[in-house]
Amino acid sequence: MSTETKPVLQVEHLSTCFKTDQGVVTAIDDVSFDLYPGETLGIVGESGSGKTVTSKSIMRLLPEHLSFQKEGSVVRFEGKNLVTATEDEMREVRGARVAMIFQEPMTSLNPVFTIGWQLDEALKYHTDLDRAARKQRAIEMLKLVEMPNAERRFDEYPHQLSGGMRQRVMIAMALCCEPDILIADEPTTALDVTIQAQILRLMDDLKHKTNTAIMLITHDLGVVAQTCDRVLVMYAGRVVESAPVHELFDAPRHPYTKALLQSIPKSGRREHGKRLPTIAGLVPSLFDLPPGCRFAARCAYRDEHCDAVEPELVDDAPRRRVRCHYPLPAEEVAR
Amino acid sequence: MSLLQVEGLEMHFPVRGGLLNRVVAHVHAVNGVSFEVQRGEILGVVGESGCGKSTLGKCLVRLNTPSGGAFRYDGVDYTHADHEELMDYRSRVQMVFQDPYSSLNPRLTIRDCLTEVILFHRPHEAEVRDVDEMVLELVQKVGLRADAVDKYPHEFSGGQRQRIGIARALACNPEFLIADEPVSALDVSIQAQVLNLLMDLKDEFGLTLIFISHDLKVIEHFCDRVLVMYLGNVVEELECETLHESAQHPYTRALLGANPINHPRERRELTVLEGDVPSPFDLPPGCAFAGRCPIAEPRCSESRPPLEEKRSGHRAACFLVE
Repeated sequence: MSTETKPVLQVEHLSTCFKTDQGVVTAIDDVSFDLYPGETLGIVGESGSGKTVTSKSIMRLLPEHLSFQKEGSVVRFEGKNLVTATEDEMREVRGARVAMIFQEPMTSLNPVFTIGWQLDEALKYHTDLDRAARKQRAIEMLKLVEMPNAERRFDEYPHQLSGGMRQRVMIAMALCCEPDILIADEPTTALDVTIQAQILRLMDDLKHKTNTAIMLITHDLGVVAQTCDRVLVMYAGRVVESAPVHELFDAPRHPYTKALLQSIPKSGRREHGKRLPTIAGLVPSLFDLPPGCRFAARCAYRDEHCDAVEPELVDDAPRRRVRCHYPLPAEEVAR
Repeated sequence: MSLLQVEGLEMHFPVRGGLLNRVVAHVHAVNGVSFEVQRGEILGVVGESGCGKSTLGKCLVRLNTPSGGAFRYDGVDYTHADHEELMDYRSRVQMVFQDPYSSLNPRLTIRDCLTEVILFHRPHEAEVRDVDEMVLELVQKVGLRADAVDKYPHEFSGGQRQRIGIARALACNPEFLIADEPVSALDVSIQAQVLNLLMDLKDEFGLTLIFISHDLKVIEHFCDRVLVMYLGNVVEELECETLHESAQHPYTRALLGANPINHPRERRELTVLEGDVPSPFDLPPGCAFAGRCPIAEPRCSESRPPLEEKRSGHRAACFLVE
């Protein structure tokens, strides 16, 4: 990204808490990042790291009576703070300006309405087009996502489509109002690899055509390597590292990122039958977080300082940030 | 002699319908699969959802009774073995399932769960040894703490539950393990832990494994040989060591091409297959992959290419592979 481009979305100090039977738990803690037009930002982390809560907090899709944002949380979009926006203001943003696709395409489509009806709904709310024009636009969108027999599919129900086709409908719905931002939450996790390849290629083509900013949430580092420009690594509700994708894979600075990269089997590397490097232990419970670094208990480079004081997320190099007292030297690892 | 020999194994599930609930069609889940497994090796089975890889695994522990073909384990045909014979068979061949939560009884503690298996499959040993001690040994073998034995499945994380699933399979001291997507539901860092555990246990217990997965990277890392399945058929069988260089079947090549990469430096256009998978109710007469194959010729849709030995240790079902 050149320095002139202004970010389309700025997330600052976003903290989301949930009220549970065991007390209040902070699911994401002080998350900050910028998203630029035309880039794909990957958000990586294991289950429970707060990837999905981050995206749902931006979209304000979390149940309001069970969750709240801490004082000082800002999601800046077009000069507005979405954290404090009214529900009416959010309705203008959701679907039209910021769209989202979910992991499970079957449960996120309504089974009792046709594909066409569901595509039409968004257009009805967010555009002034008449009925015929909306239908034309919807079919255009289905063609754009390479849906075979788009006209016929328009009148079909979700159960008549395969998983890959359903996900393409979700993408068509998300893109029909030409959003500035597309949030894709594990869009290919439930799909087979050959279908995943189709969806990833499709998202990439669309990004180039429409300059949409994409926030891609995934746990699959292979998908990140293939599609992202920048990466944010999350661990136990914290951003632990952010970097351009090449730099992250070449020289991860946070020990967690390094360990994560090493623990995936590599294809075509003839490491057959060797033991994989693992990360010992488990992610700490959010109810019982250590006072120091959240990764300390599993970290190979830990000392007393790490147990006592949690490191800040600091600028480490141009466009790189890391949350570690002893960031790894910038050498090539995990190739 | 091979430990397991599978010949033309078929599994067709009847589909009932209509007014009289008659059989109206069959789903051809496994459609004439033949292969052998040597003692001590790890055979991978890879394919996309619906290709029949899980059904194949279930047939081999006789959770499904095959509708055709046969398999022999250690020289004995168990395809239609009766209850008595199966008891013996299942103490030698065990299965690890994908979802460790739904495959463990939520009302049994880990101790109860493992004790049940030991008393059932190893009664003679249980008479002379302390069963509690055997349970404790198993729990520690799979890398859990000793205090885990009195907990219930819901008290564990996904990775720990999969370790319990493995401990349960090992409780009857098997020779052969069929693992159906054992790491697919786990996070990557936990996936590596479980794969390493399986590798250690294989050496320690001298196990032979069939490892079913949709993830070619995991298969390549973990297995000696791999069967690639497409719509109930094996389309290629080859060594994992040279998977990338020697894969010849267009479907295997497509899988390799669609697999995400290791490093952004290797970015490339991902292989995208056109067309849809044919319906397993109504298989085409020719090669099942012909409709999506980038190099298909007319003869491919006329007759089905047999799975032939192309070179030593490498079989492929394709007319166009030399």
